[in-house]
Amino acid sequence: MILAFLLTASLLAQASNATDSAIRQAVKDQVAAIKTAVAKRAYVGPISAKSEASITITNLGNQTRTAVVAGDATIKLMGGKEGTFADLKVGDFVIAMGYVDSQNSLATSRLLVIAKPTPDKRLVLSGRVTDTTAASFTLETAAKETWTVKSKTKDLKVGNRVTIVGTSSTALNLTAKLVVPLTTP
Amino acid sequence: MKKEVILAISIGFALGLIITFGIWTANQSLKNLPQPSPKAAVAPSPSPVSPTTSLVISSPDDESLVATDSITLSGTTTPKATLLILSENGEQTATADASGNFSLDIDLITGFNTITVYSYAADGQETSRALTITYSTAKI
Repeated sequence: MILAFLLTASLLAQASNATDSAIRQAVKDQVAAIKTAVAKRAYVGPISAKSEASITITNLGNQTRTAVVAGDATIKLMGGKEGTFADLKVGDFVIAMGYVDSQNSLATSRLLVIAKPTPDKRLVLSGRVTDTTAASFTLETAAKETWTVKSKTKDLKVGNRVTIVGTSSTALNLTAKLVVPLTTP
Repeated sequence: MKKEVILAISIGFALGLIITFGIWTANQSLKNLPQPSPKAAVAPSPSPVSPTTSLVISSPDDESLVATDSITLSGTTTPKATLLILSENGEQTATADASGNFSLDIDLITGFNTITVYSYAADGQETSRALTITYSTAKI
C-alpha cells in the first residue's frame, strides 16, 4: 500500500509538472505576441498610394507598408509647418511613426514629410589584392571585376583578402576610406 | 475475522493498483501530447541573403522607433566572421565570437538611420543585411 501511495504521488507530481510547463509556454507565447502587437514602429519611404484615411508607403527595402492616419495624428510638412491628411500626396517622402498591429498596419500618431534623402555614396567592395603600388592597389572581386583602389598600401600584400569602404567617381576606380583585412581561406 | 481483514487488505491493494495504473496511463498520454516546436529564427527584412552564410540581427527589429541616440546591435553569424557596419555616423568593424555572436553600440542621428551589416566568413562567403531605425524623442 505504501509503495502504491508513493508511486501515485510521484506520478501525480510528474503530471502536474507537464501541465505547468505547457501553461508556462502558452503564457510566454502570448506575451511575445502582445509585445509584437504593440511595438513602436516607424515606416520610412515615399507614399506610393493614398486612400480615404490611410497611405501606402514603399519602404527602403521596397516593401509596401500601410499607415492609417487618424484625424488626431500630428502631421508636419516640410519646413516644420503643421499639415493635414489632405496635404499628403503620392510621392511625398515620409516618416510615419506609431504602433503596429498584428497585420503590420501602423496606427500613425506622428507623420513627417521630409526631403527625399540622397543615396549613400559609399561603396563597399571585397575581394583579393592582385597588385600594389605606392599609392594604390588593384582588387579582384568575386564577380571578376578589377578595381583600382587609391589607398595606403604599406601593409597590403598580393593575395590578401580585404573589404573596402570608399567612394567611386569613375568606373572601376575607388578612393578608399577604410580597408579591412579579412581572413584568407 | 482474520479472513475478512485479509480480504479487505486485498481489495484495498487491488484498488490502489488500479488507481496507480490509471494515473500512469494518464501521465503517458500527457507526455505523448505534441510539444510546441521551437520557432525558427526569422530574419528581419529587407535584406539580401546569402544561401551559405548566415546573418541574423536579433536586436533591434527593422523599422524600430527608438527614443535614445544609440542602439546596441546584436545577432549571430558565422563564428569568427569579420563584420563591417555602415551607419549614418560612419563605419565600424567587429568580429563575431567563437559561437558567432556579436554585439556593438551604434550611434544614431535624429530621424531615420540606415544601418547595413556585412559579414565576411573565413571561408570567403559573405552576406549583408540592412535595417532602418528611426530615432525620435517626440511623444508617440
